Amino acid sequence: MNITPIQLKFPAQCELNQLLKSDLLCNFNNSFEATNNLITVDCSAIKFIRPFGLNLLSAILSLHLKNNNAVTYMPPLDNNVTNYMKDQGFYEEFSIQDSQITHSARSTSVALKRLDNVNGTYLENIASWLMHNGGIPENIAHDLVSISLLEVINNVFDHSLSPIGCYISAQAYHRKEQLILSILDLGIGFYQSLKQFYPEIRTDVDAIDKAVQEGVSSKKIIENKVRGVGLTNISGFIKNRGALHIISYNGTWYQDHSGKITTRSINCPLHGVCVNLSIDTKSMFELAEYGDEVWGE
Amino acid sequence: MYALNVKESVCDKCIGYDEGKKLFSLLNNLLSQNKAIQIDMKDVLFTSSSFYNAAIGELVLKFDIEFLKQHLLFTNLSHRDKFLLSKSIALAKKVKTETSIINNKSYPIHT
Repeated sequence: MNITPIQLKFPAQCELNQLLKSDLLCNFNNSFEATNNLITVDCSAIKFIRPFGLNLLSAILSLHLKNNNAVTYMPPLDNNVTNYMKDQGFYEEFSIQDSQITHSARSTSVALKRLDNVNGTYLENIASWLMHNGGIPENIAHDLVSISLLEVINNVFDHSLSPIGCYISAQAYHRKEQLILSILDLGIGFYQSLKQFYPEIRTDVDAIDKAVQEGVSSKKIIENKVRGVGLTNISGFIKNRGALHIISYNGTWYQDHSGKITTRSINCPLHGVCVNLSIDTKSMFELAEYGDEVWGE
Repeated sequence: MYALNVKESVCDKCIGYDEGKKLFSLLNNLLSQNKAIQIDMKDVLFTSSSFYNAAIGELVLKFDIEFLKQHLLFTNLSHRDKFLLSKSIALAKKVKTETSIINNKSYPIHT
C-alpha cells in the first residue's frame, strides 16, 4: 500500500493572527484523522513564535504521535528560534535530542506544559513565575491564576473531550509591560458542546458568545448544577486589564482592553478551543472594587 | 459555632468541582444538624468558580438563603474569593428561581 506523506509547514510569523490566516490550519485539519502515516512537521521557516504558535505546534505533534503516525520534525533554521523553543521546554516535552543547542530556562517564559488534568503544582509554578518574572505581587498572581488560567483549564477538562488534554505556555514581554497566557485544546469546541441545549446557536461565533454569558453550561442543564461562570468571570476580570481572544472552530471572539467585543468567522477551523490572554502588567491590581458582599446581592 | 478550616478539611488548592463537593458534603452535614459554621479560608492558595459553585452554590439550591446567611460565616476571604463566591451565589439564586418557575408552572390539560 502506498502512503502519501503529509507535510505541515509552519509560516515565518507564528503568532495567532498570522497562523489563523495561513494554510497550516487547513492542512492540519486534512491530516487530523491520519493514522499510521508519515507526517513531516516543517518548522524551518519560523522566524518568530508566540505562545499560541508553540501550543499549536505541540498539539499537532502530540496528536499525530498519539495516532501512531511516524512524525519527522524539521527544526527552525534560525538558531535564535530553536534556542527559544528549547528554553521553553519544547525539546524536552517531545524528547528531541539536539546536542548543538544549550538549554537554559528563560526567566521571561513559563515552560510549555501539556496537562491531562488540573494540576495544582503547575498552578503554583505559574503563580510563582508571575510573581518573580512578571513583576506581579503574590496575591494578584494568585488572583490571575485562579480567575483566568484555572477557569480555562477547568473548562477544558469539563467539556472539551480533547484527545491530548491541553497545552499551556506563557511569555512576559517586559518592554511592552505585557504577559501572554495561551491555552489550547483539540476538543469538540463550544458549538458541539452547547448546540443541543441552546438551539438558537447556529454558528461557532454564536457558541463562543453564548459560552461567555453567565450561567451557560451544558453541565448545568444535564446535571441541574450551578455551573457556567468561568468564562464570564475571565471576561469581567480582563476588562481594562488586557485583551481576551477565544477561537473555536470557525469562530473567533475578541474582547479588547476597553471591553469592546469583535467577532468574525475564519475559513480554516481550529479543531478545539484556544484562549489567549494578553495582560497589561501595569494595570494589574487587587480586586478591591468588587466590594465585600458575598451573598450575590 | 463550629470552626471549619478549609485548608485542613479540604485542601490548600481548591481548584475544581471535586474539592467543592467535598466542602459541600461537610457543610451540608453540619447545616442539616442546624449548626452554625465558621468557614476559614486561611492559607488556601487557589480557588475557582467551579469550587464555589459546587460548595456554596449547591447549598443555595438546597437551603433558604436567609438560613445560610445566619449559619455560615466566612473568614479570611480574599477579594478574589469574595468575587468568585458572590458570582457563584448570584448564579445559584438565578438557577433556583428558574427551577422554581419551571416546577410551579401549571399546564392546561386539553381533553
